[in-house]
Amino acid sequence: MILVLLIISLICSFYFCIFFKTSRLKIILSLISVLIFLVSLITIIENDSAHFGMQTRTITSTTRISASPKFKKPTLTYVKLGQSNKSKVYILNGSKHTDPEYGTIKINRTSDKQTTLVTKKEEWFYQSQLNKILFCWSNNNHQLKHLYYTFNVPTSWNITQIARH
Amino acid sequence: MSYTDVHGSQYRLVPFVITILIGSFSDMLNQTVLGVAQPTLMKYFSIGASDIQWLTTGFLLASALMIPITVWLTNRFNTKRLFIASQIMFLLGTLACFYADNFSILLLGRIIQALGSGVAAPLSMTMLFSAFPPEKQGQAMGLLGIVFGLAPAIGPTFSGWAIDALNWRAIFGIVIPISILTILASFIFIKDVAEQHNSKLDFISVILSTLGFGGILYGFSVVGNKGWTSIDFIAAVVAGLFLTILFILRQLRIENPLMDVRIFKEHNFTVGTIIGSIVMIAMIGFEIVLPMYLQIVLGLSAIQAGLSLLAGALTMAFTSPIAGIALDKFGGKRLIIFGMAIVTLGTIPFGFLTSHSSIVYIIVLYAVRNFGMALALMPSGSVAFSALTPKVFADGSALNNVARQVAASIGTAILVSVFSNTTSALSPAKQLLKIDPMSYKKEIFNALLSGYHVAFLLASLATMIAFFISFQVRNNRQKEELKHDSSSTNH
Repeated sequence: MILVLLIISLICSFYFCIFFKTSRLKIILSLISVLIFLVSLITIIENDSAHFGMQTRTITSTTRISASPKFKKPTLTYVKLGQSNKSKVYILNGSKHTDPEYGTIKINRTSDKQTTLVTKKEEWFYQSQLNKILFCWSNNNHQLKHLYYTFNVPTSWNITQIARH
Repeated sequence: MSYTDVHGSQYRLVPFVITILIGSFSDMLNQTVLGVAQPTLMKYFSIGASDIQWLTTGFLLASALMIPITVWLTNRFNTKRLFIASQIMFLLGTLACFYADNFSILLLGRIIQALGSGVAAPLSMTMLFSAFPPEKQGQAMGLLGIVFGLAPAIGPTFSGWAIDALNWRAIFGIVIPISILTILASFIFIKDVAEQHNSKLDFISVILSTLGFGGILYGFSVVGNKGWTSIDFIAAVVAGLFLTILFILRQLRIENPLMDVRIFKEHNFTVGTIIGSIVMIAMIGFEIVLPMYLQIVLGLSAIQAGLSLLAGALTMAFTSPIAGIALDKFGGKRLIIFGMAIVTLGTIPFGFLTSHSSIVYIIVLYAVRNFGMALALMPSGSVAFSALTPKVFADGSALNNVARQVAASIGTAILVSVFSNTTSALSPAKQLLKIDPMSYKKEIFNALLSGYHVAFLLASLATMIAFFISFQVRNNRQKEELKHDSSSTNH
């Protein structure tokens, strides 16, 4: 909708500024349409670059992680990206894995029997319906902000690095 | 409505204009198709990036050679025959490119094409302006604006599609039937519309202008590969500037100048040409940098990137004729000021793009920017021309074309090098890729984004300068008088 407002205000500004005869009405209409155009433009920049009109929320989910079938002893595996220890991608169930770009990983050793993963997904969303309609083409509703992974790994489990394939 | 050519015979304006527009379209289309095709051509002919660059540089230099000579050709020869000759030349070049089985033939074909389009581009402008009566010259420019808007936008998209679906020869092949059609139509619809007067061709001026403009254009074309401090750039530009100054001094002194540079004394011609040139800096450079952002940062394919820019091109094509009508009715000043304000405001958001910007926002903002461009670019040319008498239309057209071409090459060089300098200054060390690839990816993306931001904000700065200059435009006295006359007869 903000884009429609931008286009309409632009066409109106063009019409009032160029085609209208000089009069007080011309000045008023031109000023109003130019103002709407400017406000729409600034709002679009702010929405796109700084998530204007959006809020953040955290969605928490817990999943059980099955042990890697490659090892006899229950093992949680990870792949190291690069030579430093900064980026590790943990292998979850099946072909799923942790997101190395947006994720922060924490490992807790517990006395439980099963490994669980608590994922806190921080995302941008539109709380008000008005903003949702206003920025409907922004493509940023539910945009991922950050992922916090907390693994609760039993002390009986191994945590092992595997090769990337 | 029928018009009269210089020999007193009547002709119809609409088919005349359409023929010129189709001719200009195929000429311009071919200038923009090569960018996307370069990697394919490099592979096909097994040549390096610096060799392939000659297809663009050679084309640019050959048309730089032809533009000043066109003034003499237009004044000396029948414009109909000249137009047909330029289109045949272009067709021969295109055929050579289409059938080329080695790189030398392809390059030769490009140069022959350039010799044709180097004449056709300024000649088309002169013919349109000579054919339209003064009170309708805005419309003439508006129509040419359709071509200026569409061709550079369709070129890369079409080229990407043709290479994917067919092969590189198709990008030349598609132009052949259009060229043949233009030539056939020219025989019927094109008329001799510009007055001829005998003048001697001053060979020293030809050499000075070719080497002068050629040197400047060549210098700026090597900045991307060799940098601002390279000997090639400095030597070419310094020599080019020196020879251009000699050329101008000679034109002021001799009896039959190749280009009448005195027309810069006309206030609106100078202001209009300056605005048009600054807009070209912002437009051409921007149109190279934006597709790079769409492909590298947003991950779009070449065709998707091209298609994203299509809406903007269509906006420009639709707006240009409206701008032409408004120009004839209300004069250029208000239109150009308004247009430049919109171009500037429409460019600023690109300085704030992120790694996940909405493609819909980009498409619409690009269209907004091009809306302003249509209101400013062609009207600034029109304002420049309306300050001239028909006798110097050919000179005006040539000077305007040279100025825009030099500006476009400077703009591309500046924006692309500012982008790559900023990016490389902020890029992380290569070894970080081995140590911590995720941090490397993040830092390289941030560096790229900063590069794009600086380039886009620089483009906004250029358009802002043109915005302030546009206040210097004076509304045409002739039009004011016409309006005054018609209002007094109404009373």
